[in-house]
Amino acid sequence: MRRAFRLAVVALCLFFSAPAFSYERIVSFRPNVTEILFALGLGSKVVGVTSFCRYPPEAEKIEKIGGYFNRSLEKTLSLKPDLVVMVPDATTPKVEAALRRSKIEVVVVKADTVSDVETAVRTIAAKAGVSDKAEALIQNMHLRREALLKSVDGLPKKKALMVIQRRPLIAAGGGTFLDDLLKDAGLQNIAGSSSLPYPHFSLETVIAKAPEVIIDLDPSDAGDYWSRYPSLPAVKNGAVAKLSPDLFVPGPRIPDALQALIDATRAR
Amino acid sequence: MKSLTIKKWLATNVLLVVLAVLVAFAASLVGEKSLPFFTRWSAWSPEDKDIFWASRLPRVLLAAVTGMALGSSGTAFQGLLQNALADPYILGVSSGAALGSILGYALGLPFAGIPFFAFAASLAAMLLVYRTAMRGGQIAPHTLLLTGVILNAFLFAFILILNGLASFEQAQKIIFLLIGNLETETYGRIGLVAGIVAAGLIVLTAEGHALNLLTSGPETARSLGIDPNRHRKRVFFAASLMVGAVVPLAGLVGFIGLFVPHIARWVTGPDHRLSIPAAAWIGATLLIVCDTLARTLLVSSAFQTELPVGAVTALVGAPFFLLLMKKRGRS
Repeated sequence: MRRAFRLAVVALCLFFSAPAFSYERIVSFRPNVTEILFALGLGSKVVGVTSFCRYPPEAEKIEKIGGYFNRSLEKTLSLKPDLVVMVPDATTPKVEAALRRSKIEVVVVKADTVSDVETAVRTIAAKAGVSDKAEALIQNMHLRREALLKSVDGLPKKKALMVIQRRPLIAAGGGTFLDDLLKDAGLQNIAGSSSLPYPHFSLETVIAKAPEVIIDLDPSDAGDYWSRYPSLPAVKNGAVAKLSPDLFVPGPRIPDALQALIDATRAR
Repeated sequence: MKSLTIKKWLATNVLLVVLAVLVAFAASLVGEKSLPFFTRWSAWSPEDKDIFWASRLPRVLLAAVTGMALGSSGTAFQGLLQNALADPYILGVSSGAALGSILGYALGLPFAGIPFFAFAASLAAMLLVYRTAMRGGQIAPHTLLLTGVILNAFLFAFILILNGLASFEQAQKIIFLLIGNLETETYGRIGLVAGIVAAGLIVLTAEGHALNLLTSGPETARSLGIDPNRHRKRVFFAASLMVGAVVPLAGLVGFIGLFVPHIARWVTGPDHRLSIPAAAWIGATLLIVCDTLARTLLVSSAFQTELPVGAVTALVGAPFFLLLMKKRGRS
């Protein structure tokens, strides 16, 4: 009887732990997913990433399965993954179905807002059996966020615009993690009321709404673009911050992005 | 056709220019923020000055220059090719210019070089379509349009390949170039493009007489002392130069080159000496209207977004053109 009980316990443990520790070959379909996998200590098990996955630097050495939307299913299958992690977009349902038909496990995580990112971290960690690491990671993100929130506490709520691309002018709208970051930095997003996540913003609207801070994430050289609009308070006060878009990824580095955002816009 | 007098030419042109200027003025009144147009400039707030001077005016001017180029080159193409459906967009000349400008941008050329890159590609596209459609001194109208369709598909394939190789941000820009999108530009760039367009317009207008004679057939033209090939080359050259100048800034704006020539001929009659400059002013007027719609329609809605002008010209242009064809069929 005792032996039977012990056997049952062992069997149960094996049963529940088996899926949790069996992922040895993981493929990531997005840069932020790659970052989450590495932050959870699963980096050594990642066998495929996108060509946009440049962080952490080790990710650059991993096989590429394609770009953002034009990923190769064949390449993915050839890597013999046991788990593929993706963020839903127009192209994922077909790939997901195809992978499932090939008996490959798929995890789909949203990453639109900061809370989506936390959920994504938890979901991926639970699947890979490293939930304790997820809690530690999220705890750390929370602590850093609170410290940063304190650093901007009491500062005036300046009007801000985050520019994804200058020409045509695409702004970070409401319901995005970038909008969350602006709020956390104590800034008021002038494009935050748009119902589109990334609206094609009118330059006139920008001038009329008079942002006091502009965060320019366009990777190309801005040249004299902003100085052509001298009435913009952000231009007048020299508060146009050019930041690298590489840091603004909806993943574990969100506190770093928030730190950079605050350093560039508030620490004066 | 001999009825064209200097008086009629001047009166029509002046009238259409005045109309274009009035529409441009009205368009600069409309926008996200209404401007205090009836107060002194010195009393304007710096924001209003910026909105007008740095944002709205350059955009209206770019729309005007682009509309001029597409309207008059479309009229020249339709006259030269004897085809009411010929326009730079349908014949693949615009796509050629788009491919040229994307290549130019990808090679990191300074802006001043890009219109010439685009021009070379659009001229090559034009000559290819023309040579293919030319059968024993006659242009086969169906072959002409079909060649344009095929060439468009071929050039788009190249553009999509470049799009696939480009970075995420560059790819976005290529998409906007393909839809046709006007953005606020520097006066320097608009000035450069306007200079090229003005030169092209003068050449096309000067070729108006030859175009008139060519419509009665190359044989008749030759008997009247006109060398058809020399004039064809000049028209192709000037029209491609104009398209090559505007496409790098405005992208593929469709339909303006197709229906503006029809309106122009309806207003002025078939004489190219008048219909070509008239199409320039009408094209400017219509593209200013379309772009004003594009930048204002959804901007104060919940979306707070601008529309690409190419979508508006197609929305307005396609039904208009169908109507025009139906009417023509009846008469």
